[in-house]
Amino acid sequence: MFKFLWRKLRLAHLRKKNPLPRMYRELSPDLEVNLTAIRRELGASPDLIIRRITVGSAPATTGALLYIDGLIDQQIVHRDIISPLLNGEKGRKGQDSKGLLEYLVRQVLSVGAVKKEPKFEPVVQALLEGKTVLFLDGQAEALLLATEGWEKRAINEPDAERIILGPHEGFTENIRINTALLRRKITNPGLHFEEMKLGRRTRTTVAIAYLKGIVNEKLVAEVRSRLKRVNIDLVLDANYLNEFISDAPFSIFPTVGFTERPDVTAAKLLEGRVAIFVDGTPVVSTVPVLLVESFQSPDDYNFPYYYATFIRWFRYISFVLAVLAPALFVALGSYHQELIPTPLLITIKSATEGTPFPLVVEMVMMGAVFEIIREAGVRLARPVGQTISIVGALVVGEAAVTAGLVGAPTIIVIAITAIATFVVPDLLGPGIILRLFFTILAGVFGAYGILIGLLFILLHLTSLRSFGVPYLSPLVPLSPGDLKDVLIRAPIWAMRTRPRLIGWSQPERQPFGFGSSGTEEGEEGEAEDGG
Amino acid sequence: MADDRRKNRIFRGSLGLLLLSLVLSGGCWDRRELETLAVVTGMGLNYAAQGDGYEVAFQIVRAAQLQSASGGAGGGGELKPVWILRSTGPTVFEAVRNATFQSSRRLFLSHNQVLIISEAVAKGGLLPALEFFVRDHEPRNTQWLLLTPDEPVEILDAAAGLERVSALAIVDLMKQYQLTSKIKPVYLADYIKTRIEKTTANTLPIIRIYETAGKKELLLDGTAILKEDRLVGFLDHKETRGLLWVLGEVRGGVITVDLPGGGKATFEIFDAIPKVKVEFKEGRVQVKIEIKERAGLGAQTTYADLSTPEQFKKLENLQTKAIEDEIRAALAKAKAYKADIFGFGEYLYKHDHRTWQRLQKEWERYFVDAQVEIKIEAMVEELGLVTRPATYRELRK
Repeated sequence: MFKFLWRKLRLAHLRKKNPLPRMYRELSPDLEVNLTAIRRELGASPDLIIRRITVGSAPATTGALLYIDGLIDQQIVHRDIISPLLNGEKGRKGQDSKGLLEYLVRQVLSVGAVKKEPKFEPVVQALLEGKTVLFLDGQAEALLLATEGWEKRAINEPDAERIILGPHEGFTENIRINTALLRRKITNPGLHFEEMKLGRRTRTTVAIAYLKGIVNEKLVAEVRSRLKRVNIDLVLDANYLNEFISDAPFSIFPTVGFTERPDVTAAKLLEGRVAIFVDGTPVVSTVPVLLVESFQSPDDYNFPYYYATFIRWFRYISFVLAVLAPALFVALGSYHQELIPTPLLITIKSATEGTPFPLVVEMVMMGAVFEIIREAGVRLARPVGQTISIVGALVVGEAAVTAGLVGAPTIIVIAITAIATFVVPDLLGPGIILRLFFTILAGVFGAYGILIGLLFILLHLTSLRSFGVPYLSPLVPLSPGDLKDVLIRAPIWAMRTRPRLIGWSQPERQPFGFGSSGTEEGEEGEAEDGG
Repeated sequence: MADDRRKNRIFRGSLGLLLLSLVLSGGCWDRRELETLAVVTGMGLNYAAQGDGYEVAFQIVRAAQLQSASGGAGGGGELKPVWILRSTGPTVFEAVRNATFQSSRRLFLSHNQVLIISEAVAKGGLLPALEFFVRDHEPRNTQWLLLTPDEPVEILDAAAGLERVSALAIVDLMKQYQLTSKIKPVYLADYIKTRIEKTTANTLPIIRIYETAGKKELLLDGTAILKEDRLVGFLDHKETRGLLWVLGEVRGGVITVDLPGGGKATFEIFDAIPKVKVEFKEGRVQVKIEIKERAGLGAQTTYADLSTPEQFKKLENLQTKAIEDEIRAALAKAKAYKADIFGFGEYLYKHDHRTWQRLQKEWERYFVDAQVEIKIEAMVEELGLVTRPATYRELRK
């Protein structure tokens, strides 16, 4: 059904394919030609700074420093580039113009990363990335000097993934900081990053991260090839890519995982997964992802195992409640009244007496109202948020019931459901869609409809895969060894092996038991694989 | 690839089947909104006053009234929490349908709790009247059956003490039978089950109205015996428990005995386990009933110290006698009505089928002639929270 649509879309896309003109022109030895070319390329942007300088005295060479104001660190440019070029240059004697660039790099400029570039296009790109470009008259090469420095957000705890115990730092919008945060978690030479530029126009830096020796090389290759195939204009967030590389682009279930937490990313890499960093967003994608991962919280591993297990079960129950509670209530109230205990039936009946709409309409209506309130609460400025909650609570909670528009039990069910939805934030979207789906099914077909719907969803879930790994594993297909982190959260010392279908190339985490952490075995293995 | 496509086709095919089955079976037209239902909690069965047919009485809950009285914020005046409806018809089914002439809402029988049967119907044969309740899909098999010498409508309309719906009050009365073990609650399913057994007679609890302080109140009052589906006689409370001892349905209750030195003692029954054996020997049915009973001393009206081992022995003997008395009384009544309420015949049916086949035609005669041997082992195990009675005074020397 979806595949058909997919093929159609692809065809339409292929027809319109028109490659961008590529201009890998060579630089000219003439300074003015180069500067004109740059000006033409960038337009009259006021943030393009062209600082003309004269290097040396005998013979003096004219040149120009170019950078984009705001993308560079002023201090570096002044202290380490302009100042040495103008002053430290006095002592030079009889340097021929050929060796001039080499000389500058070796003896004058005190900037870390320096690169010589003969082509025009990379020079413009480097300029846009915050590098400073040095042209010298008579040289067909430019020097690219690493002077990046711009305003960054501080490292905060991510709002979407709050925890109680454990590390509170989250990724930021800067990919360099993000990779550094990950390096701080995994001090291991096996941690490899592979960078590429994606987005034909935004040229966003995207990095694949994995732990060599633990990751399955085929998985890395697959991620690489899928990313390479992405042909997109702009990449502003991880999701721009996720929708491209996802196995089931039409499914409501996420087949690419995402997180804003370095600790979560580190744990996933150590299980043999691959992470995808995108510059400009704190969201990091991890693949492959399983359904059960949505129910795992970093706090599970920061609290004792018994409490973590207990809470995890509440997460499962909450999700089922969030998806099915309104549907069950509708089915019982409109079709199967004989299933409700008599006293409860009388109570519910007395509360719904005189309400004008069928239960399913009440339920969908109030569900919609709740979604509106939620969405408004998310979008509105914080001070207005309170108004929303007051209006929402008063109007929806009180007035609707008092006016006899909806029954109080409906409100209770919606309220419980609403709260339960937020217990599993990863599945917020699927939860809301499924809830509506099941409520309508229940309203039209009763409990029978719910059952058919569940079968349908189950069928769909079993057909899903994420980078080759069945989405429902380790439940379907069953890998009993992996249930230690699904049905329960086993004590850390008992979680000896990595997930079977993901981390099979290096399955053992540690020897079993509480004993002294004799990790010789593990390290040996890693060394072998790494070499 | 070809395999993939085949799988895909199978998947799509099964999906289509699923959707089709969804559409074909069940749908909106079966929907009945809660507020369009009249929830029936109690029903009464009587013969129609005119013509041959049944009169069915319904007790319908006015949910809003019921809630408003307890929850405050009520409106709508002085309506009673229940609405009583009567309708007649040649059969019970038609009488139930005819009720729609009066009720604006669809009668919903799935929550019916009690079925009150008039004596007249019980005398005329119960099954023809009950048949509808077993056949129709709505009424439950677990509704209580009760017999009343009064009009069933009155029972449904009676004030029900602390409850506001008499049917719900009757449910609670039934559920606490083990506090006395002097009533034998009967489900609709129980009644039908007993009717399937060929020789066993049915019993039904009796409920009736009594007036106190100008109000009609409900009272459980003994047990009715139905032989071959027809009412033949009654058991009082004591005889009812005699029956329950044998059936093994005594779960609690109290026994009071007269003490030899004057005064009375009351025991609380903890449990009683019967063992019944029925044999056919020497041309007679021989029944052996063994009961192991445990009890605690609950009250005494003498100053004597009953807590000594010797006294315990005496108390146990007194209890044994009291229990045997109850059983004998029930047995005598059953024999007088020639009704095998104990299920001795059923025992033979299960354990000695050949004999039963020989005896079944004249089972009435054999039952009346049966020799019953009763052996009771009563134990007094507790004194409550005191070690000596509060009334006990040690005599001065």
